[in-house]
Amino acid sequence: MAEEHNYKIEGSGKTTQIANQAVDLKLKGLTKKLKKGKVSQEINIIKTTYSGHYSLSTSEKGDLVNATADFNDKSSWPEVELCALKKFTNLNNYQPIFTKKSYLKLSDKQLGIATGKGLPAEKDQRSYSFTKSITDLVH
Amino acid sequence: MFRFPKQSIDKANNIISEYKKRTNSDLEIATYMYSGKFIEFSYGFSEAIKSGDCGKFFHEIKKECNCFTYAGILYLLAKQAGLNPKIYEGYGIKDINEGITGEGIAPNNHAFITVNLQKGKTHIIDPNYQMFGTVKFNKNTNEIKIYNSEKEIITRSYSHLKELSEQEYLSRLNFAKSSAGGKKALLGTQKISSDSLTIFLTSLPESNAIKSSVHLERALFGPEPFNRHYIIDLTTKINENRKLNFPESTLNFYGVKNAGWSEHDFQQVPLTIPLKTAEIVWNLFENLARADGRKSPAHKMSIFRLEDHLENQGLRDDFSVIKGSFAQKLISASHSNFECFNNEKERIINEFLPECRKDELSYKYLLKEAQYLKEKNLRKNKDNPKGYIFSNDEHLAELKKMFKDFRKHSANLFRSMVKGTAIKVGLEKGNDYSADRLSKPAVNNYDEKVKYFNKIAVTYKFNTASGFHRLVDAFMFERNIDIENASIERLKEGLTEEVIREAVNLRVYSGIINSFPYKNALLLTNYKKGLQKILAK
Repeated sequence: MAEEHNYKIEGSGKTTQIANQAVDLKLKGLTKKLKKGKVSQEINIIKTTYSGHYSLSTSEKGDLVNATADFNDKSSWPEVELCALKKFTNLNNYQPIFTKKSYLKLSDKQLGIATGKGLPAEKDQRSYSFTKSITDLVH
Repeated sequence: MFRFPKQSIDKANNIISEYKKRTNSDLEIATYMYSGKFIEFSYGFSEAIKSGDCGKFFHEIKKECNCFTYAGILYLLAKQAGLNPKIYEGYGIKDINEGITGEGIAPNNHAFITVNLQKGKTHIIDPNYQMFGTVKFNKNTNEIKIYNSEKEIITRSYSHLKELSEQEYLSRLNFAKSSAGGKKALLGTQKISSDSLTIFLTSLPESNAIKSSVHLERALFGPEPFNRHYIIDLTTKINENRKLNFPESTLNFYGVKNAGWSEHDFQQVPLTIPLKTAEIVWNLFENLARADGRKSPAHKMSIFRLEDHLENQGLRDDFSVIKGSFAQKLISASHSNFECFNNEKERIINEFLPECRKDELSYKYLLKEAQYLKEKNLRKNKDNPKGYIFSNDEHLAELKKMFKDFRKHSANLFRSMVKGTAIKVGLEKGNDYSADRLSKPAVNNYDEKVKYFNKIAVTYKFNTASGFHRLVDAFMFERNIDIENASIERLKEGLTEEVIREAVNLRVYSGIINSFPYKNALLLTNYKKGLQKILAK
């Protein structure tokens, strides 16, 4: 039976490089945390998956069913691209967002350090509308 | 063994009996709980910090609590109503609506409950995250699929999820009441309202300090890979008497990709300015405003209006002063103060530059700003005192072009909604569920597509004219620089050390003026007593 993970790290971006970089940075951040917490810094990555979200960038007319499409949990970036190529006639019409997810098996001590940031929080309000005040815009 | 206090159980029973007077349906009771009927608490941690008790039970809360406490209240209500609740604590949670990705959503830590209703269906009750509906857990992908009452599918992605037993929950809440628990609550960053503004408060035990932070959205009119939010942190040491030592506080300013509560994605190297240095300039701002007949405090003005005002009084954004202006007279009157600031500013720039150069991303952004500054310096003349690269008409044309895109995306949205309706009324193939899968993602995707238009429209409509032109000009220039692929050498082309220092100088100005409206909030005026109570224990 495959080993079960207990922690996930993910990173997204407009390119596969950014998604890779985001995951690498988060892994580095986690290693730093573990080092600070004086527990083993060996991180056991059980599996990694690759996903692509494609959204139509230049839709003028036509069938809107294909306005967005997700190709989730593939085993590599080329596999994601292959799926997209099969579905869309012209990939240039789509803006992709790539997401890489690494599933980790952390020891109890490591998990305690990774999640030990105290009490939880309320959701951030991220939506932005025309009526929002200008006051929070900065240079 | 821990138990809910009798007063809390009585309060929960009273509310459930009120619910049962109105309905016998478990689903409706769950709906009442979700909408907070007879509970009437809002989200907030201010009450806990002001009172120095970070783990309040249901009957102890006056008007607000955080999500961990609220999850316990809902758990108790659901238990008394016989709905078999479970309480979960999640780390790195992101709620992703269909049609969009999780990119740009900062992960949070959060607690919520589920209940079992008729027909074996599990429902989530999570009012803090506006989530109510049936749930399916997928442990393989660390995701929960939520089908809500609006017939939308939301994916709750998480790094780690833990089901807490009642004993574990109560033990944690009791711990939060203790001095160590209060400090731990602050360790995990709490959102509070200070001077009517939102502040993120974190304790930093390693450096024996408290950090109050403001998270600001940048005025983006197009895609931006890394520099989407602007963070201002005020770090204050706790002295030997367990009091906050504000005179020695420091301000840190930096850009990030996504702003989380305590941790950010792609954090750049901070520019550090001592509070007392910033205060010299803040006082100058106030005095310049007062001398102009303004009665209310200058920090209540919008930044762009204030900048216009400062320039009219003779203070430019590079801290240079126009000869014979009122600003010059005022500075001359307090000569030593401003000279002290200028010396300190040179030290700040000298300390920042080598650190910035060590971090590729931070240095790239600085060089990008320096390139824009260089181009503006070349163009400055009487007709174009700001040195803008593009004309005012070109700035306005950008707004018009984005409006055209807005029109196109709006038409696309309506086409997919019309198509969804055609399916729902049976004129096209499909069922209600498939029609929703067409229109709901289209709505979410639409928000994403028109967000830049919304921002530029807000900037044009509600900003000062100079603010609009300045932001759009910088955007139009900087969008031609591909920060991801451009090398440092390429970005450095044509730049002198002097102009790079000028760019840092402008960052010092931006930091000081951007933090000006938040100065009282960052100084935690209303929280000093409560914080000292927690820290003194």
